[in-house]
Amino acid sequence: MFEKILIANRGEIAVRIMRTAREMGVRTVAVYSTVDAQALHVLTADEAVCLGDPEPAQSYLHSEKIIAAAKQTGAKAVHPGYGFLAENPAFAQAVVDAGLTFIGPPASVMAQLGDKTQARRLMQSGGVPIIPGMTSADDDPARLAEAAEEIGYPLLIKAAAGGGGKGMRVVQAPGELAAAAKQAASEAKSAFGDGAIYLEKFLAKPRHVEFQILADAHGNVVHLYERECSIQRRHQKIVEETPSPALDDALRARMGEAAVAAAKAAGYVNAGTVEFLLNGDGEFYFLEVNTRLQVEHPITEAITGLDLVRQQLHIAAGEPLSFTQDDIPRRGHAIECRIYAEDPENNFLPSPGKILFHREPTGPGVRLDNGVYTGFEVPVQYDPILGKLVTWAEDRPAAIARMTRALSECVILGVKTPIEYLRAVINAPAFVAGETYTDFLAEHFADWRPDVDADNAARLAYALHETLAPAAAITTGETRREAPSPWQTLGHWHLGK
Amino acid sequence: MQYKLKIGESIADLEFTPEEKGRFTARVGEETFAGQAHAPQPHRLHVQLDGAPALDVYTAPSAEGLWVWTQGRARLVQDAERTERRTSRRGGGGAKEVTPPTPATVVALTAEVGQRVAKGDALVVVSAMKMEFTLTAPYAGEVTAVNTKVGEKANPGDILVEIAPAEEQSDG
Repeated sequence: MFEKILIANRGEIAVRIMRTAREMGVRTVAVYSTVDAQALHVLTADEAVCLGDPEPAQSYLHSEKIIAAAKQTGAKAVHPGYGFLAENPAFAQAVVDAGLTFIGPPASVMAQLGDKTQARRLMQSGGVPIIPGMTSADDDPARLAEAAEEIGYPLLIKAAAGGGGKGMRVVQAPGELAAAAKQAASEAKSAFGDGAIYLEKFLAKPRHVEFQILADAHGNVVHLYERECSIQRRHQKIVEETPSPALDDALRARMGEAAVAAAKAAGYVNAGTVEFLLNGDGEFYFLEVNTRLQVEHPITEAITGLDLVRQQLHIAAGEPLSFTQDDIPRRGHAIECRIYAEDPENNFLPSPGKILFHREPTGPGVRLDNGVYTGFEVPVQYDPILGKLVTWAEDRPAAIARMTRALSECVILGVKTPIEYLRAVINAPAFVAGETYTDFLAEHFADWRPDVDADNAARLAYALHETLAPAAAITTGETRREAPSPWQTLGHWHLGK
Repeated sequence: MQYKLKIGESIADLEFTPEEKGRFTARVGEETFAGQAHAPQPHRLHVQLDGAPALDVYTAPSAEGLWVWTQGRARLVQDAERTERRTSRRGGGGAKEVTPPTPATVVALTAEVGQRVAKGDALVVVSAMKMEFTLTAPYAGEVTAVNTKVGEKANPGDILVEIAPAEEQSDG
């Protein structure tokens, strides 16, 4: 096992990786930008190296500086977490070229799977069902029109290089195709530096169901069951659960086999996730492979009892998996809610700032993978995730009730968070009934507003605070520098370019 | 004691009467409260309401008002009169100014001094936490100053682009 590893990330995921490393007797090195000098991952690590200016390109995306930090501290392996350089094959290769171990899949596998059309061809040849459509990119309008006729409308234009909804367009009718293709290609070009696009059949009302896989360097591949991740805003998941309310044992077995086949087709090593779209008839289609530890991995840990980071370290050290598919238990139900610094009342506008008070929820079946603390200033430069709240219970209703309780105990003051919104989401009749499709939030929560019934209790608390806590009276606020708040200055802006 | 308290856009009067031993009565509109409260630790209040479940309350004062957490919900409660005074001092708030909605970094700048702009024209693109926002002209006019550069930080209230209103005031 490695004596020391460097974690090329920040926030909750860096802290989470360090915790397992510490349990394994592995020393940890944090890297940080100047704005993160007091960040929790820096405070948690055995040692920390400053990378430089806050801009990601100068810090968490700067491969050379990160590799130099590993060399300087004597770290033998690099864990990339998720985001930043986690799915960058050039970084994975540079780590190996520097004589270190990359805790993740080989660079060549990552590169293959990062190209969407190449991945589709790979899966097709491995017998994994793919969404009907093109398997190579094309920009010729005549050939696109021809392919579109074959696929049928409505269809989806996608960027070969991309993800996250960039360069994606739904086309309802042949007349719209040429213009939409041009737009999508230009958007893909500016987002990924590559304007290659392809066409896929558009699936109405699908679910997003993904399978966790583990593969060692000796050809052993297992899956750790599914995660249902249909609750998304702007193509980003905010609530995940396992098991999926849509799967029975037969479908689970079929999809699990497909996920293992996908990993084998790609020559996959380490932890990965095979994403599928599932339609109402129990037909499922390969979407993509995420070649990293997923944000939502803790729910899989909750139901299987396995520590995925521990498994990643064992695999990276060249050890074979110590169990087979039949050994992997599945027990109870787990839910994750992602807690971002953002305003659900206001189009999920980011809400950076100082956390004035934070109390972490606890108790039976509750886990908070957290990256912040009271007094921490949430920086403006990075993803607004603060932490992930996970609950486990013996069945789905109990897990929902436990999450409701845990969210109510999770106090964050000073920045806006979606905690109240998440509570409403998981208690909505459609969620409770398991009717979770990718359009769930758009359909049920587009006009969500906080519960005004709670406002008067908050007003009462204001008066009680002034009476009972005079030392911290609010009147001191008047003498401070008066930065106008966002809701005073909100005016002429809109999302995106 | 009388308070005029603002939550979001909603303002309500609170009449609060402290009594012996942490007891109180209060009224907001039609709703009345009576009970007993104490502060067991900093940032925390425990409120036993007569005939209702107790409220566990967390508070954090800020320059903008008091952040309150109760029943799993966060609210920023502001003294409405003080907020009004502040807003009027700043000339009606920033809604008519080219300023970011949240602390951000400037990633693109299209406005130039001397440029004539129409209401809604894109002037500055800022980025916060991996999201981009386009700041647009709040009214028609001529750009008189550009107070930022690409790569610079910008906070709410910073006027990034100054515009002299067009004479005909086509501002709707």
